[in-house]
Amino acid sequence: MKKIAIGFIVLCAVVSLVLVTSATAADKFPSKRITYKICFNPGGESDITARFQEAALKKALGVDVAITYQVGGGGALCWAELTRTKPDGYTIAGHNLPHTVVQPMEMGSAGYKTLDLKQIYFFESTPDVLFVRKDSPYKTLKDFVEAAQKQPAGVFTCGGSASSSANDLGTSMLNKAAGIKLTYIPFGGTGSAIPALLGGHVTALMSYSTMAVQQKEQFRALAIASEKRMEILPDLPTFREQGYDVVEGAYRGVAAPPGTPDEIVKILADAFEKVMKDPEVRKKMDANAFKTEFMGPEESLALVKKKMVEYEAIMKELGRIKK
Amino acid sequence: MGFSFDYLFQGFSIALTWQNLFWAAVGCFIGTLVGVLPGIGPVSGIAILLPLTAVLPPTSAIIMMASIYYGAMYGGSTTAIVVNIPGEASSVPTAIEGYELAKQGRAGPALAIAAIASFVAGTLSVIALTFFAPTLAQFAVVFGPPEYFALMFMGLSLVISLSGRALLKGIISMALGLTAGLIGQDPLTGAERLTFGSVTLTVGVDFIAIIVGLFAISEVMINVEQRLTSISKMEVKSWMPTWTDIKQCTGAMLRSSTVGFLLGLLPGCAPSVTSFVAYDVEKRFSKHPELFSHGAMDGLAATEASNNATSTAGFVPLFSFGLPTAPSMAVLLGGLMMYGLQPGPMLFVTNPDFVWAVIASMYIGNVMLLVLNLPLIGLWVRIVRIPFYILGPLIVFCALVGTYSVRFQTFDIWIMLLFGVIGYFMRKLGFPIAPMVLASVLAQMLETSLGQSLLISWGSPWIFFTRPISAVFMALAFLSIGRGVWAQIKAKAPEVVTDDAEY
Amino acid sequence: MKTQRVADIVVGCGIALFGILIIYASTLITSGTPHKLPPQTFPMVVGILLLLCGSGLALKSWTIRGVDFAIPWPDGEGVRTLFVVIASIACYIILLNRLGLPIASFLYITFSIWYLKRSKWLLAIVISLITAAISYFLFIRLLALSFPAGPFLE
Repeated sequence: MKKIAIGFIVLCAVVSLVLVTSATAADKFPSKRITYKICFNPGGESDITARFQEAALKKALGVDVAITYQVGGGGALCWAELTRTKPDGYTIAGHNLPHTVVQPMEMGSAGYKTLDLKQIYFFESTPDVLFVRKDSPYKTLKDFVEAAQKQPAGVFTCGGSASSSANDLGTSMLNKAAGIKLTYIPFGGTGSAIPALLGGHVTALMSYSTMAVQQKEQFRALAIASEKRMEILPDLPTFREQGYDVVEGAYRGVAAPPGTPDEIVKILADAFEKVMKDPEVRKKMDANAFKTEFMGPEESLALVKKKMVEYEAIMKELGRIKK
Repeated sequence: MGFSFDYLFQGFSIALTWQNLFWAAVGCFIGTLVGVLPGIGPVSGIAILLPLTAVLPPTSAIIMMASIYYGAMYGGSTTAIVVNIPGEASSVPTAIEGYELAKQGRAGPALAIAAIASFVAGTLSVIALTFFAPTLAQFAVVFGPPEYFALMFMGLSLVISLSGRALLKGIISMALGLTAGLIGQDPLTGAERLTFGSVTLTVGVDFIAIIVGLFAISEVMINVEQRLTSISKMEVKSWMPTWTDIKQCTGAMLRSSTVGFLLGLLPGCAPSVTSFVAYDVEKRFSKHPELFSHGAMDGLAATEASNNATSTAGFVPLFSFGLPTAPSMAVLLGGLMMYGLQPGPMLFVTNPDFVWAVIASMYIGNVMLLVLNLPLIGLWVRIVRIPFYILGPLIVFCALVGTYSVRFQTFDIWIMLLFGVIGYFMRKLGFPIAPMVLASVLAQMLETSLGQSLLISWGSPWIFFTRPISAVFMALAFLSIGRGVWAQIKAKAPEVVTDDAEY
Repeated sequence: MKTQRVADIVVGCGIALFGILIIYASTLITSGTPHKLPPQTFPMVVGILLLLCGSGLALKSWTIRGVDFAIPWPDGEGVRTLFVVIASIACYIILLNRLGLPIASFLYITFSIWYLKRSKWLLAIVISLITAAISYFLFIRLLALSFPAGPFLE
């Protein structure tokens, strides 16, 4: 008898719950929790940015925002999944350049196409930075390039995060611009590339601007691959200043499933705009050497289209994709 | 960044405030839950709590997150021992030994030894962290790609000792595991491999799905077929281990703490490798190696001790260089950054209060976890006596939730079911299972480090023999392979696994 | 397949064939980038290993006629139970995406307990209701994990 009673109570609870939750659907966006998917492991640059934004984003949207992770295939798993998600604006995902441009180009069947992803906003970028160890004899980029030119091809190695990434492409651009032949060694991520330079297993490291702050005790930054110097790193010259045309880095933003209505995208983009202009968020981003960007849906799409042309040319030149 | 007793005492005085004690206790409790519950691992456990950093002072928040991390290691052994679900690759040896013990009605002592081993290893590791962090940190970066390859290669050679007499079957099992690990994108060039044109397969097969399938699902199938009424029918007399158990395990705990701690310092070494290495080392030291994989208490103690030593060792490179050794450590690093604390050698100089308070809290946390976990054993041991017609479906539910929550992909649960069936046939046909697990976990790391090394050496394999550390590992690996093959040739026996190595 | 020796010969041959398949599949791998460790090498090595060990196992079992013993295959009813267990897990996975985690779990656990022990149908419903409620409140509401919630609970 007792068991029947318990069963009945639980049944009632479940039924009432069904009724309550189905009744709350409203027509104003957003009216319920938004899922913000991160396509890389927690603790990475994408995750850290999302965590900086979290509180301000909840305030700007007026609803709860749940940050969840879907990791696999260098982000491809999550983006492919996004293209199959209901386009109601309640599920958005962080996305990255060059990944979403290069993967469909290189993998053939990455599970999504670059332009499938509906652009909402690009909010930050991290330019490539070339590092050597603090105790290295190369004090400037010029020292490094000259030394590399004297060595036979392939003796100088340069680590970085993943292949066909901004680090990889940046290294190739430097090779071309300076007429040197660094061997690029791909690592599983920025985190596993750092000890390779710390232990002296690679000659140099192509990493992101954030590392210029995080590893400033142990590394010497030689040059940054941005157009202008960054405010937080005033002493770090750009590649261009030193005569090498290398401008490369990773952009991070958010995208929605294909077919998401423009009004909803606009609401989300406005919210991110507000978040990125929040002084608290700005302060944290700047302190960690993230370069803040403010690109709405149209600007983001334009950037993606521009990068698609650029990367295709580079990838062809490097022999990564067939001509 | 040197050590001084003043700093340590000051750390304790901060860690022992009511507020910090409270958050440490909350963290230990959540950590234990995270370890036991399927569907939520330490990484997401800590990540979910990150928003709390907005309201808590940094020291309290990091104390809590750290205690979740090492607390989950305590709790992680429970499901492996009681229902044969290893939540992570590192608790696979725990499942091998612990579940056998549970079937023999010794789930209680097994859980208690696991908790005690965790406590001993955790505490020893914190002591090492306290006194030698700066010196040990240098060790973390000594390993480059060639050393990692040699270490992984040695890890793979453990297949020999995991296979018992069925060497050929062990190698087949390993090769199948490697095949599963190779599916998807090549880590070095991004080329698609063995996907047979399937888009789903390009992201690869997740090894948690393989492990859960091979262990939990195939176990359910075997039990159902044998119409098992409950995992153990024996009366649970006492959940306390006997003095013989403790005496037998003391050496194992100390040895494995050392192995686990040293390997745990390496940012590129997975905890799964550590626990398999510690397990194998113990098998060689043990007075009764024939008991291994039939419920050896010291094998269980070794695995659990090394797991916890590894997790604590990870704090050395984290604090010293800002290097995360595990995904959970990366989340902690993110937590530090949210507070504007920059890990690295300067952290000990600029924020000594913070660092030493966190280290001091780890001594306290380990005691708390022991006190929290021992009484819970009484509850867990009852699970093995639940009728199997109830427990079986619940095990499937936990396995499914746990597998799905890794990548939220339905495909992964199909893989889990497939490997459940494969595991069933492997058991019936006498193929050892552990080599397959080990290989599927190691495949990518092995290939990546090999590729990186060959890039560095410009294609010459001599790089593995000219660098001293990798040369030692390679020598050990070849020695172990040679011995195994020789024993096999000499024995001339059919491939049976009746007495040694059921898994 | 009744005894260990016959089974080993059959399985060994099967593994060898699988090895050939892997070797063939590794020749299909294309990659534009020249590399010191081409993506084909590792799968090729593994395929060869499978081929060698598979045929080795078959050959060894063929030549050594030592003590042989029967493999404890299940009886007719055991096979039927196993089949139902596997099929019910497969249905569970299919239903997971259509009905969501709570409802699919409810149906699966109720069915499984009922199937394994007919007399306990009431207990089956109670336990599966509790599991469904936990999966909904803990995993979907509280922790916001991306499990399918199902048509009624979204």
